[in-house]
Amino acid sequence: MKRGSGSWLLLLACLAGGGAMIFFGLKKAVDPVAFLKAVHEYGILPESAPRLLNLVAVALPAVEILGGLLLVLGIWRRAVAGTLALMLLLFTAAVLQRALGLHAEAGGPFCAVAFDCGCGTGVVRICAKLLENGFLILCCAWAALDRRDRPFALGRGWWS
Amino acid sequence: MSRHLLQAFLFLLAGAALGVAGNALHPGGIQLGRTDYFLPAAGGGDAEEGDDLLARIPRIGLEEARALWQESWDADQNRWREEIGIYFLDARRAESYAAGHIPGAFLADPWNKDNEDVIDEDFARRLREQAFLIVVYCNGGECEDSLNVAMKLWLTWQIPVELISVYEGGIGEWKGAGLPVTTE
Repeated sequence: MKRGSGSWLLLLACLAGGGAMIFFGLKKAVDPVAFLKAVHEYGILPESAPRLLNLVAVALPAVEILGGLLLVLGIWRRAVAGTLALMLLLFTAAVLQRALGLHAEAGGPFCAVAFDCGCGTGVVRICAKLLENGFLILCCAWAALDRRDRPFALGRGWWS
Repeated sequence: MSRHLLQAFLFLLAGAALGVAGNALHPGGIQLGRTDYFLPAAGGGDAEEGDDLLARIPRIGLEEARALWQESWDADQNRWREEIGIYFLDARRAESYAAGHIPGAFLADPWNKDNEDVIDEDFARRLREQAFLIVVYCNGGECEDSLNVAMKLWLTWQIPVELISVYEGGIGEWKGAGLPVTTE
């Protein structure tokens, strides 16, 4: 069966989104303590539930790595991509909120705001980070919503 | 739709399980059951009570820290003078300590997986019996690990808070002032 160019673009979206999630997940998993501190600094999780904070810091990098792998391999593609897109949306909202707070304190151009967002890549400039996350959200959302089969997908039947 | 929801749930469950397993094997992993990694919980009790306790911990600046260090450090012999009783505790990560710390400072890394209580019973007894003053520092800036260790010294190991000082500028300010650090 001849494939349209759309299915190849879908493959590219899966590889880009999945590859990025594996990269970011590995960077976080290397130093669990640094990531725990980063999660804590966002102040999203309640202080009254420190064990939940520990669990989230331990689980998130592994979820990203596993999700990236499944997306690259084409297993449970739509479910995994949808979950990753939602996670990225939440992360982006948190990063944006923190950047707005820093901008309110320091002033100056918004795009000059730079901080360690806990994303695994050290200090980043906010506008570059937002663009990067926007691109990844698009890749994952596309992989989640496109009903077509993807080339080189390992998942078949219930595993697709 | 329900198939995708089930797959998403199984994916998250598998990811979390992998994370917990990987953390258990990681030499620098997190202790999942530990509740005092962050202030003010490090002091026990609720947040308001913790903030009150934090405010009672004395802070010192660069000049005072320098004077105390010069008093406790024998520059001729290049050694820490134990008999003076001024202890410097480095609350940063073990890797940072190894890369350069204030000469004579002891490592008190609150994140060390193998060192849950930060300071063990023997060292705590030594501090209670011999310390004239304990100066705790970390990186400076937003770093709060020095306060975390100070709270533990005071509340867990029953060392009078009057004997504890947090050097707020930390190693960043110390190095910036051209003061010595060592990797030994």
